[in-house]
Amino acid sequence: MKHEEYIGKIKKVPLKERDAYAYVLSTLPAIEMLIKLVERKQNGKKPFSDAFQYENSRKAIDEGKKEIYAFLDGEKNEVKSALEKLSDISLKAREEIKMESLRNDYLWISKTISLARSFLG
Amino acid sequence: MKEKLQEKLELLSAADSPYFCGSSCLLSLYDVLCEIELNTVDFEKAFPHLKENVLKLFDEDPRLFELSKKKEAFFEEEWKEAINILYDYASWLEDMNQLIALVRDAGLKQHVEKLRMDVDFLVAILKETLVIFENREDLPPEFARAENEVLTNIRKGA
Repeated sequence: MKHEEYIGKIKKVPLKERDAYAYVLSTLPAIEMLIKLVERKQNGKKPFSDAFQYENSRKAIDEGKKEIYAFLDGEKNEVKSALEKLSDISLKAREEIKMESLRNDYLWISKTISLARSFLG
Repeated sequence: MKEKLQEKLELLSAADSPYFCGSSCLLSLYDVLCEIELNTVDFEKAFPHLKENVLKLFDEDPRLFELSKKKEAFFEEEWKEAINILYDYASWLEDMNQLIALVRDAGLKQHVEKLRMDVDFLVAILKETLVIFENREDLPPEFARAENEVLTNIRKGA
């Protein structure tokens, strides 16, 4: 399904689950940006240190995205732990960044994902 | 504009696209606005241009950044473009200030948290961009007027 179709689905979600659905949906732009930022860093002059475990983290981001789409498609899955992991990855990546504005980007991404997690109880 | 949302989402992670975290924040905000709209009586009447403006700013945010990096003298059209973007930001900020007050009055704390977080994040980026413009010696008075409107709306929302 396309993003606009997921947005169109908000009104069909039962009222008590609507906030959670919309907030999980709103993490997708943040996750796409997380992908861009970590790939840029890894392919740039100063890649991540071994502590970040780039390959594992990058794989976890893709797996997290799959969990989010499954949740939006109505599956009862492990989206809570996926969101927690994605938020942690963004904070872990932030630790390796010196530029203040980029650190703020990673922080915003992490907070956006954490906020969605808070709607899931 | 709505049919292009999937395209916009995919552009965010594309290595060669000009979109960065400001645009990402705007698209994330758009998703939540669609939900708030459903739960708010007369949302469309109160904020007729808000969602449309958010999608417009999605493209304008990287353009303003690009213009701010230009070292050479601006063409008249480029100044007009930068000034129009600032007025779009001013209008967006005015709407967001009102919407935050509305959801706060309704006791919707988590919505307030999201809206506040996104506004603060985008305002920080915008202020950094404005500082770069302020260092130019050829800033036209129209730009200063538009900037003043933006800063006034930032102060009103603080």
